[in-house]
Amino acid sequence: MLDLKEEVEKYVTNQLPDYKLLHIRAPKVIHDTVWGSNLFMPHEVALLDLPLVQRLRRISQVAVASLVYPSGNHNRFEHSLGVAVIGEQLVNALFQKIEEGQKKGLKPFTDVQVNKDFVLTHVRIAAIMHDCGHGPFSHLSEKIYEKFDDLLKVKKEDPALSKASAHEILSYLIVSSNSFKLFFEKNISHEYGVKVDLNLVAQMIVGYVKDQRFAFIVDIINGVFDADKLDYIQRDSHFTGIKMVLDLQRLFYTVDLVYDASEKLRLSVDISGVSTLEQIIFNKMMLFTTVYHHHKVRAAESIFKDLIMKLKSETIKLNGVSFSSTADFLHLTDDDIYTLAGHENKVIRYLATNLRNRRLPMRALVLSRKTTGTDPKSILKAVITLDRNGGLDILKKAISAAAKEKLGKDVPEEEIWIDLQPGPNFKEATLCPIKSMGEKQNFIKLHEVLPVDDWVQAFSQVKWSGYVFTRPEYRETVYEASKIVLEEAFDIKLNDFSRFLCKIDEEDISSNV
Amino acid sequence: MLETYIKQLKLLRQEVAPEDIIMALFSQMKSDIIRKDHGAIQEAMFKLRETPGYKSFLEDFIFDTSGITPYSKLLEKVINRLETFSVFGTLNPSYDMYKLDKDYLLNAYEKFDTNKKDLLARMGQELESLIA
Repeated sequence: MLDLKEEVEKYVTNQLPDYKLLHIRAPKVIHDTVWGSNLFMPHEVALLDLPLVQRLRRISQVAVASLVYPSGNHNRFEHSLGVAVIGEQLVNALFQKIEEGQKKGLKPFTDVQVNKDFVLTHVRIAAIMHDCGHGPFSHLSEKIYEKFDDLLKVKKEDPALSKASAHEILSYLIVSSNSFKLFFEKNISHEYGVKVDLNLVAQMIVGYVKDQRFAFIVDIINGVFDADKLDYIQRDSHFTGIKMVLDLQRLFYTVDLVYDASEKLRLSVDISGVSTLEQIIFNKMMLFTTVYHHHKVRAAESIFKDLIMKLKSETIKLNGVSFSSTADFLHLTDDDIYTLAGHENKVIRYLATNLRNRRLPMRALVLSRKTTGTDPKSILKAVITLDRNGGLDILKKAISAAAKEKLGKDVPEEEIWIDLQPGPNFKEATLCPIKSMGEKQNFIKLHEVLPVDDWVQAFSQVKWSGYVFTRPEYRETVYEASKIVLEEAFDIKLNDFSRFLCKIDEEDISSNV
Repeated sequence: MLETYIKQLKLLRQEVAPEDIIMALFSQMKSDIIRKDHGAIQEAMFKLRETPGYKSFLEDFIFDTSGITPYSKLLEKVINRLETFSVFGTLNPSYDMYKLDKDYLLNAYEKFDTNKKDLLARMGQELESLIA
């Protein structure tokens, strides 16, 4: 059996040799709803044309959120273009400061050992390639394959990957594969006269600093306020219709460099730019609570997860792959998942049809601080237990058994879905260096300037919810059965809000969205 | 069947989870009010993990050391959970201190055998002085 690196190598090899690049004669202007008209150089257009990148057009940026926010249909391809555009603006703003500082002989700017063209070329290519490792429905499939053994193994073995997320690891393996390097050298470097260090591009994608000189360049693509985040906050809010303010101009005026404890030059913001960083954190909080963690989004995600796990457990092939390797997800896009609505397997067909037609399960019980009254600690026991391998499956079985044995009703366990929201992290406050000349290290952490993370965390924690979902006809029974199980297994004593929030009793008189 | 499943769930909870290790450590602090600063906690836990003899407890907490402070995603997740469910109570209006629910935390500590408890107690006290 091949390891993940070899599987990715095979995938890239299969994608590239028969692919004939069209010669791009001149730069192209590409229009974008969020960032307007932007110029892409011939070698970048050639890269964008690769099937490895084109598949991102068929991967939704916000997974199944468009089932709740209908205009949220933007994809990973347009996001990648956006990251290139914002990345360039960050580089331009930073080098304006670096060049001014160098003219005046000021540190740390005089220690910058790379020129702007080098940085710009690498930032834009890393931006274009940074998401090519995503699978269908972006982070939804990532949540499944991040637990695969082959991915965990490569993550453990390669120090460059220790902090990387699963899709970043796949993008890294694609960009650093021999097939990609050979193809790039022959068809892009040679053809367009651009010199690119693809190892550096791959390291930028996973946020790994190997060469001290390049630390701040890595931060532009994978740092605390990287181009990726600056694009997705604006793009996701624009397309979902959730209004947000992000003063990028102010950020660009205040972008700066500082030395970290190991004397590496890092991307930073002057203390006068803190308000934009606060906006980033507040916006992230709003996106999580209103979009990514919307209960209908979570219900759709539960269906998707079941679908993939069913395919995997029964080794059913989709588009020639059977999910035995993490790399199998690279062969798929969102449309492949929807084709399963015509599958011969009854369960697969049922789940895929429901996802495609937005026939989503409904809330039967809500678990939150509000629904357990004064003792939210009892939920912690459940959350920790259900995190263990197999925990959620046992709970489903228990609810189905309680329905039968205690209430005399049949509810198939396949019609019960359980979702426990992961909490968002606000690591920006801990990891973002704010330039402040009076400090011992010449920087201070955002948290020390203003503990904005504490406030948004408190908000997110109050908003935290876990759900038991089921089909409308089972809601009443599943509510009662879940209550019995949660009390017996975890001593959770639920109050009436656990039911009111599901709107079970309002089914006939309200829109139940 | 219901009884069997309930038993299985209860058995699962007996396994030592990352949350249990963190709760056990905090249960051994002398004070029940400590500074709420994720950066300081991350840094302190990293130092503890690097201390000879302590790593076996903290092996699952992988730290990224490429930023301005060591950072573990798992530690962040655990601390967030303990906050969300009020084991680490946050004190209004400044949110800059944690009020630790010592009784609850001690339940996690009691999961460990005597040798491990001694070690955890030492680690917990060192952690307290590192965070202070």
